[in-house]
Amino acid sequence: MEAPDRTGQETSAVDAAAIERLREIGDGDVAFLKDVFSAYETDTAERLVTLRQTLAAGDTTGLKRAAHTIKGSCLNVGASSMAASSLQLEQLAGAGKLDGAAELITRIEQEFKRVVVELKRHAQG
Amino acid sequence: MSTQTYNILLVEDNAVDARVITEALTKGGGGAFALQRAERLSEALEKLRTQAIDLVLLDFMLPDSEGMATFTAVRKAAPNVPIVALTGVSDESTAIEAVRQGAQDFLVKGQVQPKTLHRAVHYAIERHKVQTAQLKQAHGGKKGKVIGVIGARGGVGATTVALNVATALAKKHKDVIAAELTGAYSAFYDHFFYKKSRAALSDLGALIKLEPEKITACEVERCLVKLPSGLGLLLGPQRVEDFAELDPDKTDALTRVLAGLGSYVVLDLQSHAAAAGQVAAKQCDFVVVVIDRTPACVVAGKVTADLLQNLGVIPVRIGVAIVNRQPLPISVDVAEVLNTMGCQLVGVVPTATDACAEAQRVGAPMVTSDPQGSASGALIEIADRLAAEQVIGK
Repeated sequence: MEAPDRTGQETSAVDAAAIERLREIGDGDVAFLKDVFSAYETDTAERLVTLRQTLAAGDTTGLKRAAHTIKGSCLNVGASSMAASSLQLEQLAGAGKLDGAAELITRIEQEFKRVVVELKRHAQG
Repeated sequence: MSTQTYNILLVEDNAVDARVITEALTKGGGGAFALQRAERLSEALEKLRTQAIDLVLLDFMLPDSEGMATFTAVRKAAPNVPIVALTGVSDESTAIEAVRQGAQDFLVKGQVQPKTLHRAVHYAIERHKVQTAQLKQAHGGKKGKVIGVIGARGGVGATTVALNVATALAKKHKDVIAAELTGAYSAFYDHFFYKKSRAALSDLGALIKLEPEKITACEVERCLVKLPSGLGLLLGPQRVEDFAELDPDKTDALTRVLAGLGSYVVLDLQSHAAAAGQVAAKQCDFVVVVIDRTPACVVAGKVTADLLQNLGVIPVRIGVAIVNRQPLPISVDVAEVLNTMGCQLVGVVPTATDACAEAQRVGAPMVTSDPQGSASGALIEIADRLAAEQVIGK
């Protein structure tokens, strides 16, 4: 694997407690965990595209909704930092503003990559 | 633990939330919950309209509705179904407002655990039952099962079905009432009392002169005619001077009082129910649409079923009874009838011209005058089916 284990060097993108909660809900069922992660990855990837599209179209309502959904999904898998950025974007768009939205989206996209990598590790471990 | 399976509707557009909640609810639930999901408000309203749902788990932020508007729309569409709001950490205030307006509880998504979810759902259903019972008590005590019988059109034999079903029920249950919801001319009178003087019997005529709030159990009981079988009859007006259009508010009050008086109340509803009949139909636990097998009557039956659904009577609470009064030149087969009408079959009554004539002659329903006949057998079966839990619900 090319990505070195960077735990300890920077804050983790995914809270271990949230993963533990999912393990409890699934009662140790690994398939359930993988299912949730895969739903997270697919759905969020689609919504990230929506963020860019709605921003380009100046559609604050669509932007707010997509950010809201991403936030909700993130909270399920313990991606709290990404959830916080999404909440910021949701509130910004909810106030009808777009200033700084592009930067927030970029940050969310970067955080998403980290989250996906960490979730894959959790699914194996 | 209860062995009953609750039908839960999860209204949630977020795929991840839906997956986690589904797992949390079904895992360790011992099969207590059957879960289905709607992703949009419109889809949820359609499911509530067409199915018997025990509880709604409701996210307020949906693609086609958001905030309190979502809650209000679901509440309006299904006032008798308990709602548990699903909320994010940042929008708890909306959920609290929903609880204030009648939601049973709220759960914060992302923090849901199987145990808390099971408990919240069970409590919400039980608490809702208690509240509904208390409300009923406040409105006049116990509530019997109300069965509406409506002809797809005049002359199909709906009154005959209503009276026979009520009589069959009265043979097995106490406090059965058959009521004729018409403002003019009593067909019940024709069936039972045509040899007696019209003035000798009390009827609806006196009741419909009262204001709605004056239509009390005491007043209604005074107007009931008790038959030897134990069946209580509420006849439509018999004297021309009493004929009047039924008032919806009075009919509403009357139906509620009847539901409090009888363990089973069979309402003979007028075909093509006008405002008053519609009000009564809404209060029915089950409505039987009576048809014959002529193509035109089947179409009329479909219109009646559609009307009932528009009134909010869900399809599982509507059934069709097919009456074969006489052999027909063109006859639609049962499968096609059910296919056209889109509702369940409660019974098929075979042709019984002689038994009908005999019933008329003695002034008693067929199930009494000819209990062994095939038509009586079919009518008794309909009554049994209507009394069974699986038809009329919980």
